[in-house]
Amino acid sequence: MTTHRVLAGAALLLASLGLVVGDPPASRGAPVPRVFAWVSAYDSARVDAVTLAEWLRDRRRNLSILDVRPADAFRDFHLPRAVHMPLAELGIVPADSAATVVVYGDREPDAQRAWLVLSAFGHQDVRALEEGIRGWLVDVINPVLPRPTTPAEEIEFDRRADLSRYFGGLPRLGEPIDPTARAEDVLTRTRRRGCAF
Amino acid sequence: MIGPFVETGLLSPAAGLVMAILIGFAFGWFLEQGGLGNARKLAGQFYLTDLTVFKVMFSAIVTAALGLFWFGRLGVIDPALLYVPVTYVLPQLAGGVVFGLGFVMGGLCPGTSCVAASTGRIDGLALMAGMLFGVLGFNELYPVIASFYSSTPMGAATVPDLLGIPTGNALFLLTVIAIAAFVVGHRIERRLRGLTSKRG
Amino acid sequence: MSDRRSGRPYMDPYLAGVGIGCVLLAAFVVMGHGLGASGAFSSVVASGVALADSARAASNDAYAGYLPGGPASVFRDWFVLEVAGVFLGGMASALLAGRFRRAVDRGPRISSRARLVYAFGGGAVMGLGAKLARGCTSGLALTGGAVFSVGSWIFIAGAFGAGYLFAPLFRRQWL
Repeated sequence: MTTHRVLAGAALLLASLGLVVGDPPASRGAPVPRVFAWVSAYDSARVDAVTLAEWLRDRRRNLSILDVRPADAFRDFHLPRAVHMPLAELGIVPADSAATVVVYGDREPDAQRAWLVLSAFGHQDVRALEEGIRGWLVDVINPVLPRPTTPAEEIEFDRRADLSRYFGGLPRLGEPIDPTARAEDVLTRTRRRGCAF
Repeated sequence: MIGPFVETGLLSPAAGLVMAILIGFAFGWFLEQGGLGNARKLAGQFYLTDLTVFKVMFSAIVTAALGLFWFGRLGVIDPALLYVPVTYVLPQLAGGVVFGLGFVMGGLCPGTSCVAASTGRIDGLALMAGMLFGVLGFNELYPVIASFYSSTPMGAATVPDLLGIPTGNALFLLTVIAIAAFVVGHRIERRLRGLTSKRG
Repeated sequence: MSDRRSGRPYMDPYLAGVGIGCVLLAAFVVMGHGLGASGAFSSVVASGVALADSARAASNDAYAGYLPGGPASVFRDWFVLEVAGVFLGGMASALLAGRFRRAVDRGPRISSRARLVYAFGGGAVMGLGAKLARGCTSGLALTGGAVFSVGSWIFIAGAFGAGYLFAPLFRRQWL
């Protein structure tokens, strides 16, 4: 049928042109402005969500992740490979004393407390996740990345976007998320984008 | 880049929800127009009597892939903001096999069952009910299969990334293969039709 | 061989496919994601279970991903609304083309009742398969196919392969 030939011809033409012009340019981005500024004595014991995401993606060895939030919050959503250990029940983590133990809670003060307790128990490399689970949601799952203006920023955007998508998230272009938004609202916006759960 | 519109803020999430109904309407419309609300037509794919499923699915995939590529190239959308399903090799292979068995048994897929049901077909309703049952069953079984379910992850892997080729090249290959497959399918249909008419 | 007993002829499948491709493209351009169907069924089940027995829903990870906003949020779920649209669009198309018909689509050698049992069973099996694969033909094959997802092509291969493999078992239902 002629319609079929026209369709096939158009498809081949578009595809061949695509072959010639090459891929769209890599997308661009700029670092998300830090929402909370914490100055604290344990500054070097903190880790940001993006770095943690890279550790997880690269399957960093000897890495334990502890969730110190209440049980129902853990069930609703938790980080990949996270183990639940509420603040009140903190104790020895089944891991090497040399292992990297990352703790996270709703907010950083919870993780800070956990850091104190775990360090007292003898764990040598305990890290607190900056900005808690919100940091994970806001910086990894649903990062809002402003338009970049330089090639270096383009590479950074690419890196952040790839990382986000690796965890099934969706990077967004635009203004940063309102820092006073509740975690539940952020979580609702990060819901799955397809049939997967 | 102005899109995807809800991601760049051009449209609000509420407007996005309205669009969901409109987009779904158009989807259902074209499915019914192509006859995909008819279980016999769909099942015919697996007896080589009716290759509609194949023709519709792959022309849809090629059309959308070409569109996404060119919209990205022309700056209409930012490709980095597109959702890519996460790959889990074994669960998706196993799930595909199980799904295929259910498909040839039921004759409709989840989307087309809605079209069949909405056009009066009772078997469409029966299939939708079965789906709810199957989903519930999976959820109740989930604790048992949870580790298999999360095994062999590859993140949001794409074929061009895996093969180390530009997306444009993968797109060209896809288009050529699809068209070649359509030609082969056409020949198969013609030959089978010829055989039936000789007998009859 | 035409299966319709009434109404206008079906649209050319390639044109219908291009139409669906445009719809899929529109979904990406508007939302950044594609279409879906099995996800909507999952949401409905999760909501139903949460309404019936919230403790059970909360204690099972399988429901967790669908519950952040509570059972009522099912009405604000993009995919549930999309599937509602599919329902309406299919109905409208059939009515306008004179193809709306209360019937059970089946082959000549099987009874309606048996066909309905197969339909239910097939649906249940597909429900399992779609959950395991995290998608179905709309959400994984079409959507993933358009963005060249590896998993979607794996799924397509498995599904088509299994379809042809198991087809002889159900010949009586269709031919």
